[in-house]
Amino acid sequence: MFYHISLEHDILLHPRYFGPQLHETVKQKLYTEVEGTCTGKYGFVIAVTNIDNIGAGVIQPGQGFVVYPVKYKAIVFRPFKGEVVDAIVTQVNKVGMFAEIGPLSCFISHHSIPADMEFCPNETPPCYRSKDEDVVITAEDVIRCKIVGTRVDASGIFAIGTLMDDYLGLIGS
Amino acid sequence: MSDTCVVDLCLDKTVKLSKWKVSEGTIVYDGRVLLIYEEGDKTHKFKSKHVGTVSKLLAKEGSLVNPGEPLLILGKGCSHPTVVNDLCAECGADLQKDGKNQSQATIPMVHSIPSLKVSHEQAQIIGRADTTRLLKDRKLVLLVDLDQTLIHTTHDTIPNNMKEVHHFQLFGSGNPWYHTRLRPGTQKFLEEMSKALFPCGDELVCIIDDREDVWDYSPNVIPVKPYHFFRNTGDIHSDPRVTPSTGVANDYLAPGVKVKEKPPEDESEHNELADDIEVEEEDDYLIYLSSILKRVHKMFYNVYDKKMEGVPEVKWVIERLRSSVLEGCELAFSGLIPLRTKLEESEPALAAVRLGAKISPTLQPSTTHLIAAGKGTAKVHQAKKMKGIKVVNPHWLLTCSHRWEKVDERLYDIGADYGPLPPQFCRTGAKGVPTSLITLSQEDMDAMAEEVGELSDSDSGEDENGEDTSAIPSRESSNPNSESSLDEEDGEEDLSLLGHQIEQGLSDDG
Repeated sequence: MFYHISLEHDILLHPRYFGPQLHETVKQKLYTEVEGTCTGKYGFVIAVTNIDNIGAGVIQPGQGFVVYPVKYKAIVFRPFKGEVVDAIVTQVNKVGMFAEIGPLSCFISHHSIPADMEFCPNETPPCYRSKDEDVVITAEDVIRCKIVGTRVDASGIFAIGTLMDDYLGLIGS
Repeated sequence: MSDTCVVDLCLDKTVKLSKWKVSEGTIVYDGRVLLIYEEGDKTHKFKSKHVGTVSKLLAKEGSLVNPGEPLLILGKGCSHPTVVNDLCAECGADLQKDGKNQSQATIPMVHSIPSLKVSHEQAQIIGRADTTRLLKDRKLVLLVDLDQTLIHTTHDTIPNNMKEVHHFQLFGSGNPWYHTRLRPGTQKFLEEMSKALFPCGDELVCIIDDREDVWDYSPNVIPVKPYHFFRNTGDIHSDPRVTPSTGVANDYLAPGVKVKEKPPEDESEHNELADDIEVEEEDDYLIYLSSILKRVHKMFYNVYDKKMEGVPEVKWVIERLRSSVLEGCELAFSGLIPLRTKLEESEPALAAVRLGAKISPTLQPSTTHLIAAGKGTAKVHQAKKMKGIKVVNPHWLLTCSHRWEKVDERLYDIGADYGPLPPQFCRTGAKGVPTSLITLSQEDMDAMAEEVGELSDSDSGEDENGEDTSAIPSRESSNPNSESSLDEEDGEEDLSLLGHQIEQGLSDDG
């Protein structure tokens, strides 16, 4: 789910940037440091929309670096258990398939793929195909899946999905 | 997981069960739809409140369900049979958060994604599915060794503009550049194989590798003639057991292969001339290999079609096919097998037996071929007197075993030079025992050295005998660098060489 929320971040600035462009530098630094990161609480920071306030800088004793507390608004993407999302299949194998929901990677076990769909490794590219050959899911297809569980680690969030519910599976190309 | 629970609809009306959405054995998670029921005109979904495995369905589709009537038995809990990044792929549980990682999923099933693991049970189920799929599609699994089989890689300095040579670096910039050359016809070979034949369990697997020892001489392996394009590159993973004498790992690479390979360091070749030389490369082995594989595939499915139940094993087919190559031949060896090695354990003899030939220690009336390392051995003279024995170079046997066909003996006259032999063919290197050469030779060296003193003196006196030296011309000429590069072990090297010559000489006499 996407949220537009207020967040805070501390920017550590080298003294060489002290000058007329100081605030501009702080803003640039915020964009590069924050956008694309991921925390367990708020999920992925997609984009900073507004910088509300750059607080008073505090010089670090013995270093000369300055810390600016910055308040900003950002769009974040936080996946939840039970959420239905659209994903792009990245890889298909005999154990299941991997898909990407933007920055979030997701695995769908073959147990969670409808039983009438069968893995066909001899096709190029390999795919999951239903018995009547109506539905073929292969890499780069768009599917709709439901998130069953998520896990947050240092590098990002990883999700487990399922196609076993109504209106899930391949969606129009 | 021992505890099970009985699930009912928790309704106070009688409803009609219209469709099951799960079957026995299905793993359900919290919120998974179990069934669809009809209440009046409306259809409803009934979702699971537990995580578990369906162990038994109690009601039938289309039947009426009374309030409180049990519908299915659910084995509680999930065994987490498939795990990705410590996250169960079936129920979505975070296994790290639970603290107790009680998952049995330990087998990485997809080689490119090591974090995706499945339990032993699941692996077997998936493996069985693979087997049935392969049989249905009439395919076999082909396991391909890369270096020296389909490609050859070197880290020597070579010109940058060589045709069809790929350059790459491993792990960042600090590492040396590697240069890889595809074997001629690789592309065509792979395409043909994927179209015609090959897309678990080892009964459907066929392995091509230039080294049988890394597979522990598994009968599934089809040994492949090693592909050498660059000079001075032995196998990076060279097995010290097989090339026991120190520093001679490369000796079988140099001279004979030189014809095909391009002298890489030569500055004058930095232009289009370099490309011309490559084109001359005459390695056509993949044509033979693809014909071998097609024969294996054809025979496998012939056998499979004949006996309907049970699946034939590829290794059996490979053994059968291979043992028909030299069927009816009886081989004797001269100057090939070191004295201390038993005939049955020596590499040439094993290779011959695998090809279906009989071996005999001495020349018999029934002997058909004599494999001789040199011209002047006693056995060669004897064989020339006996009619009907073909005297051939060891390369004849080597080529037969590479191509799986009885090659014309006339092409492998003993006089001709076909370049050096692989170490296991001219040295010892029978299965499991090659280390004995090192250990034994160390112990025996002193005792031998005395004999050697006498022998080598007399050798230098009568060179026209020439038996000892002519028996192994390739070794002496081919490892000029091994002695210079290992100065401190010079003495040992000499000794082992001398000792070997003696062995050869003695084995000839005996």
